[in-house]
Amino acid sequence: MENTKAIVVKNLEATFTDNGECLKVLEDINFELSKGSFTSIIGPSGCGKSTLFRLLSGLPMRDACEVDGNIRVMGRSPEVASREREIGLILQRPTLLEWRDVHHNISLPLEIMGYPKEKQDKKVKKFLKLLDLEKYAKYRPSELSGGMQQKVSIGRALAYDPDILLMDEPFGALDEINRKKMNDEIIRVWQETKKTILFITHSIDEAVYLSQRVIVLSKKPSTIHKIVKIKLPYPRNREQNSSEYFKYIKEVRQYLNDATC
Amino acid sequence: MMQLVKKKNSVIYMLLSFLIFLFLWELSLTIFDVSKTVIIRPTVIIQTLVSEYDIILEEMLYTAKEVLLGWGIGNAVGILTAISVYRNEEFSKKLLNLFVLVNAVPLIALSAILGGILGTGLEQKVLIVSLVVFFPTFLTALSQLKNTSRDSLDLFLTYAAKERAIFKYLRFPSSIPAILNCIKVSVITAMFTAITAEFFGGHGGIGIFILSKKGLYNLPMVWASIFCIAIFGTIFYFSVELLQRKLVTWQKS
Repeated sequence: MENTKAIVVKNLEATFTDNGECLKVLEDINFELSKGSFTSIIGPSGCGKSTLFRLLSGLPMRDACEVDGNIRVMGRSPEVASREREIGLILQRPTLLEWRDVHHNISLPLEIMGYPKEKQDKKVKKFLKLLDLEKYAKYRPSELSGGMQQKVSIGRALAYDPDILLMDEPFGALDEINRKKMNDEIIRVWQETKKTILFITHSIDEAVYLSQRVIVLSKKPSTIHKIVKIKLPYPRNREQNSSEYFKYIKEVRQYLNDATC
Repeated sequence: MMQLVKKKNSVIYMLLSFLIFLFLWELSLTIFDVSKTVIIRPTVIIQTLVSEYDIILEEMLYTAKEVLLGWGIGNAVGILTAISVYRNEEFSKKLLNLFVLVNAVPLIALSAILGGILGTGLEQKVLIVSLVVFFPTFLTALSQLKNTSRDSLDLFLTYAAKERAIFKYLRFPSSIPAILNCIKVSVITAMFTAITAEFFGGHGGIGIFILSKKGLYNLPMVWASIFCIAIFGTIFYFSVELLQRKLVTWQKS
């Protein structure tokens, strides 16, 4: 049972210092992610989504007062899982190294991890192909659009084959059209690589379009307000007047409104 | 390619505007009939520069040696010091305070004291120049190495990167543009400092040369020397800029 779960969070509670005071940010958070699943977390801004994200990725917490509860990532603590390179991060900003071209941005983690040169090239080629970036291998990040840069950062996260992709509002800075394009892109990547994806967003449409489950967080201190299962087959279609799709959108919006007030 | 053409054009414009400046200078002196001994005419300066170039050049080369050595040592030590202390928060803070204190004293004023210890030769000038150059470069390098983007650091943590790798792949390369900028600006500081230090006394160099010619009221020679300094400074500055362009190809500024 345990080994079918990629992430298990039990009774998570976190308080943070704010001007010397301890402030509760997360409270009674419980959820599980199966391996290979696609889950979104949605919540009002400033509700602790990013805190949860940092806790799950095993990054050092600044200003943390106290963190209670249990997080298991691939059966280990997030810090260990991160050290074992089980976690791939995709952040809101692509955070590419501007002095490296696309190829070498993707190969960066492999170089650090000491992969032999041929293996690096093979892997990079594979993901350039998967993301349809082959033509741009020699481009510098500054020569690419925001969407393309984010694609490169996805390739970089995939390069070392982590089991879990944690995404923190990765398409938040993109315009509507590019965001939709990238949504389809990420579904394709998910289906081809079978990664477990946890996707943080503040867009209801994005959450419903992408994921199998949407976790709705409430305002501070954040708890899980509701978990909505989206039982729609992929590929999903937003344009088509699918009443079911809009039913889910309405449902999530309702929960989100309840959670905010 | 476009960049290169643009660059070429800008050099041509610079030379052209300088020539126009000289021309206007000459013209206005002639029109208003200013005495030849009060303000020297550009034609006279250039004549002097051409006819006396071997003497001027010899003095210039002596100063150039001071500048290049001081500039090189000051920058190198600045960068190396920053690299060796950036990880130690406490120590680098203390060091910084000390350097602020030292730097608050016009270092050039120390040349008198240093003259007593080191003599007034080449070593003293090199030391002063490198001290003056050291501080801004050290400060820039230190702050650049420390203020690496947090997002990037987070990513590197998920690659389980050691500080060595973080330095090699992230901290150092991302610091290069700012450090190079600082090194470039320090060319001017180095020139200025070397020549001023010579005014305080020394065994040779263009600063000393200017002082002695001024004493003899040989103004064309003084002017020719100043032109020579300008030419050397410009060449030096643009060579460093060229190096910067070659190294930092990812930023278009």
